[in-house]
Amino acid sequence: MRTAPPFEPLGDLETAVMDIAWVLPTVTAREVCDRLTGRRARAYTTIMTTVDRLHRKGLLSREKDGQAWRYRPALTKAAFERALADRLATEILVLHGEAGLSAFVDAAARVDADLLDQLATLIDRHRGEQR
Amino acid sequence: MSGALAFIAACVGVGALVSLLVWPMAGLGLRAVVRRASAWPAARRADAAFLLGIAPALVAVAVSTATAMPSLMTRLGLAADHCGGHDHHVHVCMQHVGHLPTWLVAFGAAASLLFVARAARLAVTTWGARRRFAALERLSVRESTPEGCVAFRVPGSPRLCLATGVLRPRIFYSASLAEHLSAQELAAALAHEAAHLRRRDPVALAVLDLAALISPPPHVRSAREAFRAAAEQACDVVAAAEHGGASVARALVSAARLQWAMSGGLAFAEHGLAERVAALLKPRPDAPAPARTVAAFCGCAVAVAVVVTVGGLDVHHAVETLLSRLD
Repeated sequence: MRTAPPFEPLGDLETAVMDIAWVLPTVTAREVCDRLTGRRARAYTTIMTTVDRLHRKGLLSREKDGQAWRYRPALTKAAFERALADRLATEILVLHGEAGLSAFVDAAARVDADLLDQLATLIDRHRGEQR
Repeated sequence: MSGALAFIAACVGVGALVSLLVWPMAGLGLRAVVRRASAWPAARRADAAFLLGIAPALVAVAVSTATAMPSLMTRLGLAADHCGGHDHHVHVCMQHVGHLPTWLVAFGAAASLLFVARAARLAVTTWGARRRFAALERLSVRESTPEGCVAFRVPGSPRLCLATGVLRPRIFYSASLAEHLSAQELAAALAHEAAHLRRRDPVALAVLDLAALISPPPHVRSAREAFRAAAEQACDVVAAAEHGGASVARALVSAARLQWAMSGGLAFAEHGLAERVAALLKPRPDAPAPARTVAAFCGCAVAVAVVVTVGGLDVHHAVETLLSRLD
């Protein structure tokens, strides 16, 4: 199974580009540029740079279509959000575990499988006695 | 300008010395709190660990502010120069910086640099955490827990179930936890996190972080560990009152098993899990008790303000007398 790359949160323009890429089968930078209208409109060169950056980040795959590159999402929006959430969650627990957060089970604690089995048995016995 | 800096450094030096002097006493108190773990209710233990944790910083702030106050009042034109009457000992004074002990200024300058480095590190860490939580919020579904707390249901692996936020208290939990925990276990876990928010534990932890800027690091580390352990048990008690001790205990074991599986099955020390489960299965469980941590902190802050205002001059002279003996 392919491991998801460590994604970064997307900027506003990157999000706008990916929102277009996720609803179409394939897109070129020109097609993205044409669809970004009003306040989201940007110069073609800006879009081309952004699309290329998203390709380098592993979010878009591409193939040659004449003179232009044609891009398709490397993963679905839901898969991207899961991978990004996993990365953020890991960073929060590893880098900020000492900060003002209270986790249900201490992330820094590693537990022993035997101990967990013993505790589960203890709880089951307690439940049996309560009945 | 250099005189004012020397004066500030001397006052910081006084604070740092006081912090070092209070540390052993507060440390002994902390040990007593940890030793009496089973005798005291968890909520009271958390309060005691918190207050002992901030004690060196609080006393240091009180004494150094009181030391600086007479001189500052004179500089602001609110009081007469009081130094003429006691030229027999050291002056910690902005008007007569020539009397400041060199060692105190050097010690204070080093302590100031350490403070700035620690404050910068805390600021960077806090900013990083804010940025990551904000990104996580954008990916999550906002909802409300039965206890009325704001909760964010996060996509991805079942890693998260935590309470955070000083100004915006909220819970983050992985939506996929529902696939691994029963509905009752998940409800118990969320009730536990909601109890952290009601107790204002994120505020207490933030205050401990601030206290760490002007306290010996080993002391604050011990206090934070003691506070966390006691606060976890206090929240277990609240969740157990709502969902039953066995449900909370089962949720703890299920969550720990998930964590064990995601860490690749590495086995180390278990950090209080067995104690928490044992406490939850006691024949006569503890009754939930309200946290008095934040109220106690506010009380201490008021006490410090009163000491500085009313007894400031006495503390100032006491510090100068003690410094004269050391000089």
